[in-house]
Amino acid sequence: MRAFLYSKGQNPRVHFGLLMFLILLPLVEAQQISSVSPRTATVGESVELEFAGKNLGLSGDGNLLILASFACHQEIISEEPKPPTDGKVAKARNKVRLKVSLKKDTPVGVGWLRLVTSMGITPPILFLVDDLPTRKVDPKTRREDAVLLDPPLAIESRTPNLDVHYYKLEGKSGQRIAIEVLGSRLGEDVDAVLKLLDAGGRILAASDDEPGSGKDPRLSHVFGKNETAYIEVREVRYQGGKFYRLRVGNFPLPMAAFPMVAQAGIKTSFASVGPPGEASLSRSTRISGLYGAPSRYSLGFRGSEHNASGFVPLRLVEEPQFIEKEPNNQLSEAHLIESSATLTGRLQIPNDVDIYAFDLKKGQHLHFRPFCRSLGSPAFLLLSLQDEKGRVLASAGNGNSAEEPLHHVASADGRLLLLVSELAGRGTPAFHYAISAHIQATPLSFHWDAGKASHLTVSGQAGSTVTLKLKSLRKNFGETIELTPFGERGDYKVFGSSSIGKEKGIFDFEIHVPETMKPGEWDLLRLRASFTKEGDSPKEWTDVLDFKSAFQNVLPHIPFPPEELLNRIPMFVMPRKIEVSLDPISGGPGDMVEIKVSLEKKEGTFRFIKPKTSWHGFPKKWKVPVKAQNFDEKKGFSILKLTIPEKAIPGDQIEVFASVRGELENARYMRVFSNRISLGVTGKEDILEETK
Amino acid sequence: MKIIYPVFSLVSLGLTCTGKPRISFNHEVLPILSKQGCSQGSCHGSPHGKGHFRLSLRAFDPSLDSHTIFREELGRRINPIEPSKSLLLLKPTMAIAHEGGERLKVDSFAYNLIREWIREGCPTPEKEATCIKLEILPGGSKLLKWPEFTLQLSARATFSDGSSRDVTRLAVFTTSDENVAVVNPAGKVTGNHRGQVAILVRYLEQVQSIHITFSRKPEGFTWKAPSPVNYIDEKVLAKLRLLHYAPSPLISDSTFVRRIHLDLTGLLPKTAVVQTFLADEAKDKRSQLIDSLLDSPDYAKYWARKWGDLLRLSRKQIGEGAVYKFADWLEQSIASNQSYDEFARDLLTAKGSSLLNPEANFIRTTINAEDAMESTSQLFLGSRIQCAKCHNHPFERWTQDNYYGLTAFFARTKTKKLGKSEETFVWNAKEGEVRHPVTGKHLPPWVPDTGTFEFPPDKDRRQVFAEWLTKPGNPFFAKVEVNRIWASLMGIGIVEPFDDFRDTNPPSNEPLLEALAKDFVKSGFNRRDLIRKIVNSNAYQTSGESNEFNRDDTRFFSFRQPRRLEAEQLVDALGQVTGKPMKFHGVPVTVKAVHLPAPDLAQRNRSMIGDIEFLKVFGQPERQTVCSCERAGDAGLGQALQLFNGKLFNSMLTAGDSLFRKSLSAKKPLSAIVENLHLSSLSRFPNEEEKAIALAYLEKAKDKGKALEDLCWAILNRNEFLFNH
Repeated sequence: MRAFLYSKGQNPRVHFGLLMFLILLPLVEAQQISSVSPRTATVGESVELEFAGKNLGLSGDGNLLILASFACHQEIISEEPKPPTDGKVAKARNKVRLKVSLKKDTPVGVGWLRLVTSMGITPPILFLVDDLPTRKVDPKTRREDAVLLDPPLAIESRTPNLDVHYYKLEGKSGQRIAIEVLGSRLGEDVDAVLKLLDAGGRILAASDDEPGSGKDPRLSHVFGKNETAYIEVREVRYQGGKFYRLRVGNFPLPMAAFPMVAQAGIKTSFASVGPPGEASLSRSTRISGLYGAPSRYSLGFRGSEHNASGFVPLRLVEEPQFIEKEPNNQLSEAHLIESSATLTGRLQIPNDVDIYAFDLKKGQHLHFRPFCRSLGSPAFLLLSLQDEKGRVLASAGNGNSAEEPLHHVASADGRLLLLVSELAGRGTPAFHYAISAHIQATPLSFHWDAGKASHLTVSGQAGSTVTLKLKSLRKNFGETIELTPFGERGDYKVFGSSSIGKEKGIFDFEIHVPETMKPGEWDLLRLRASFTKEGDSPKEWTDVLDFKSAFQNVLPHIPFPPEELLNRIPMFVMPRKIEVSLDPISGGPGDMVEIKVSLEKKEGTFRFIKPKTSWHGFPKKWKVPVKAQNFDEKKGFSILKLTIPEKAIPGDQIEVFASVRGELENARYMRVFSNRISLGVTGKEDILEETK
Repeated sequence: MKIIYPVFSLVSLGLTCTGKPRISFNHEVLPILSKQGCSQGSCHGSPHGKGHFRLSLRAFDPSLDSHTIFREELGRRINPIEPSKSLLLLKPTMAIAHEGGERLKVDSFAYNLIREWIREGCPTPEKEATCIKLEILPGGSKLLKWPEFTLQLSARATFSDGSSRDVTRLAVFTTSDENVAVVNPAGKVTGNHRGQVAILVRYLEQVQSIHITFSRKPEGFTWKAPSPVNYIDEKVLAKLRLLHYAPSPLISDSTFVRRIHLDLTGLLPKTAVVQTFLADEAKDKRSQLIDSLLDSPDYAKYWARKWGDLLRLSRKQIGEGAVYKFADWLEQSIASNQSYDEFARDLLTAKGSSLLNPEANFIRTTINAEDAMESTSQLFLGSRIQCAKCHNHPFERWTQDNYYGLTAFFARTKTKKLGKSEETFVWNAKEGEVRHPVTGKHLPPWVPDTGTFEFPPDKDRRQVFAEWLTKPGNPFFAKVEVNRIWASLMGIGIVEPFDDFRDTNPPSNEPLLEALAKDFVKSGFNRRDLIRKIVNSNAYQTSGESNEFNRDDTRFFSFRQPRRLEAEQLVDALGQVTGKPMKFHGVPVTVKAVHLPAPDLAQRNRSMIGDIEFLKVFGQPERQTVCSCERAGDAGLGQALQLFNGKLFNSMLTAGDSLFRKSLSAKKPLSAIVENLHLSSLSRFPNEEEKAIALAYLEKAKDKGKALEDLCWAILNRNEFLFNH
């Protein structure tokens, strides 16, 4: 009988109820930024950014904040629709202008931003921090009409349909000009082609895809004489409407930095890599990163002769870095790696091989994750894990991924060797790599299935729960682990079980939104897994959450999403626009009882359209209707009548949930509000209790 | 027959054990069957044979043939007791009905040889010396001067046991051009006409050829030729003088300006350019124009398109995005005048991402190692080696071993698709060999002229091949490219078809080909330099009209062979004259047909299908093969209909805003409009007669616009417009 009653983590029916209804689901219209103009902020300057999109909060509610990969000062300038006056109903914003100011020392490069509004947090949009000013130029499609540019500057435009854009330059003999397009690196579906032409239309320099910038072309040219030149920009297929930012000046065009990673908080010296023929620049810096590690950072290079920076991506990591030293091409020359580290090296000559050794205990998980293309290197790594006899135990690199990881569980104590080579056998000093090598690696990860139309965020009222649909991916690890959500505010409680057993594949993980959080507050949720075995030291792995596939479903054109966006889920505390209140109730077996559900508007003026009430958490034998029922708007409450079954056990407390679902007028935004109540079964056992 | 077979077997066994047979199955019977045509592809040598009798193609597989001849069908084809009653003899002598007709005469040498072999019990020794060398006597190239137009050839074979013998009666003799000379089965060559032929002699797997030039001075012939401009003229004139072909005179400025534009940029010259050029009195104006065109973006785009044809650059082959990228790469290669050896190396050794390295799309267009080798061979060695995949090449020295030896260079080439994009990664695996389909053995990499050679086992095989290919001394590489360029400019190759180099298809002027190749190598494989030299020569600037002493010359460049405009050239030319250029899907409206990255970009738009038909009718290739033959240059009824009243042509003529209608609206004099039509289409002013006829017709017409349409239609249907002459 007790199986019917609620007990934490044991009642599947209650679990189902929680899954389906105890959350606030933004169902219909997501908050979405469709464009930001300009797509850049310049260091040391203020810029007015115009965000266009859907449901960017309610106009006039004052809740608007830029959450970004860089620090900035911000203020609201205007909103559309305009804020309501005279108590009229507020409408959802679809356009907002914000003034953003950046300090001079803000790192240049590609970052991201998202808006935090009263409706939640938008998905991210990639954004550039530049040290080139953005100028408004009307691009022309005929060379003879091209507008003369006065570099250094940058221009933002969209490709013309079945045509090309021309810009004019007056080159001076000996002058170096650098030109690059940013589009793909800003997450745009654009594959640009760049050409520098002379007055007769002959190609002086041209660029399409480049190792350091992917689909974004970039070139430099030194004029041999004073001459008029033309910049030609097009989408490779001549497709129109594709965003691009054209940078023109004298800046370096590094492909990457060496090393390509930095340990958070540790001062590191970097050298720019490539392109061939250009001098390497160096700089030394300590990077902590706004979001710690692992995360993606942008590193700018600028020499004294330059009037702007070139920038490359950099990976910020927690573990120390090991920089490869030649010779290490023979098994006897292998570098011994004693603890988890990021291996950084170069495949300097064709068919170069770098070898690393690892002493492992039986059962230890060894995980290698290569980084090349995502950080600007042209290399495609082939990883081969061998034992000391040269037997290949595992390899990675032949798959259809540019950066294929390798995971191995040691079957015996002993030394294993990692052979790193380039798949096509290529090698120059530009063929560098970073490999995240984890001994005692995380034997499992959790992929968040955010769905295609998701905001890539979760939202809930304080006191409610948010549910993450997770898929556990195990790598020969069958033990039960404890999963803990955490964020800036510390650890979060889990509603239901936090133990994830071997049998778990796809499951719902429910996180309690603390009562103390206020509407509009938010946090970045992360996941930590821990495992304790008797007689063994506890093991703990942070950041086991990964939602790259979900991210790329939502934002398919961001080829290499910043890592901090892939393991931190923004959790937003929704305002209590409506409070569902339930009258406390009790009754004995056989009694007919009534539960009254009423709605209380907490803030604002709005209508709640066609609300319906649902009940959940009752044991099946109580035969409470599952189907949602209309909520009586006129009366302002709804009543559920039910008879407590004769077999109900007196003394039990059954936790049940009522949810009211409807659409907020003007917001076109389906919402569910809910509350829970404890239903006490009175009767015999109570009396016995008292007698005792 | 059931009784005969065991008897025959015993006889056969007895005879083979008693001593060396007098007749050799391998060295005599099979060659003679081949010589009679029994084992050719259209007869019993076809894969399924004929009349349930199958021989290996040209006696390529003796063991199969021996089995077929006297063991198959319970030995019914052989009658060892009465050899002349053998089916093997009754059929080809037509004693019994034979679909292939009479192939043997009773008591002929071949008949007697086969009969004696049967009489001996059909001996087929398992081990027999192999033929290792074939010589044609007299050797070397021959020049026969009229009236001495006959030459008796003999063939001598050398075997692996050191023996040698005359095999003239067993060898097959064929001629490359029956119009010039014929050769009889006994090896006697008889010239019919002045010119040049190759006589191919084939015995077993050995093939040799001899080149014979027939020279005859026509009555009244006197040698008269302009002074040579460069070595090209010297070589061309030397050959013409030898053959007694009188070169045609040089072309006028108006013909030159049209020809050079079409050949270097694919486009007609603009009216203003023509007028300026014709008015220019500078002596070196032709070379100046050549230099400016070679430096123009249109040159790079047009010659990139030519390579696009050969490299199978199409959306279907490599995907839409890759088409644009590869086309851009080709254009930049031509624009920057990338040396040809580097260009070839880039294509052949390309590795990595197909997006970052568009040249890697060359490998993407190939299906497997064999296809990669066949494409490479045709493109860079000028050899169509496909036949040798299944058997030794019937007309060439290529063997099946050679085919798979060459393929071994591509055996380790791998590709993988990256993610959902069009990107492909190309690399070389550390292992991978080619297996001979008959012997099952792994074949080491092999190259012509050198054979197998040593190189480090871990070295990139494609790189090894590319290094061999692009070495200055390579006998094929430079010649193939200079011949291709020559053919593009002159309308016909020194070797023609220009990608079909073989002994039986000799160059029409070997010293010229050698000199061009030598100069090309010396210049660092500089294609632009070569083109400049050719188009500056008198040979290039010779008239397209023949004279009484060169009318029958089709190969020696005594006059320019007129060519129909390519499909794309024609579309652009029509558009330029009418002012209504054809628009293509997927590219800006300013992109010309001759600059299209791929022929199948436009096919996405069904509404433009009529226009695509025009291009197809005029021979635009689909780019499914690397063969130059895919671009059709012939004429046909469909083309005539398109030019008569085709949808595209008609829409250009009848457009309300065509150039001539605009001129009419601007009240330009009719004489100026007529002049302009001639300049824009024919690059010349109309002569007095043309002008008078045109003006008379226009002035009489009530609707001047319609009349101009008619005039334009008439001009654009003239051969002078439709041909590059």
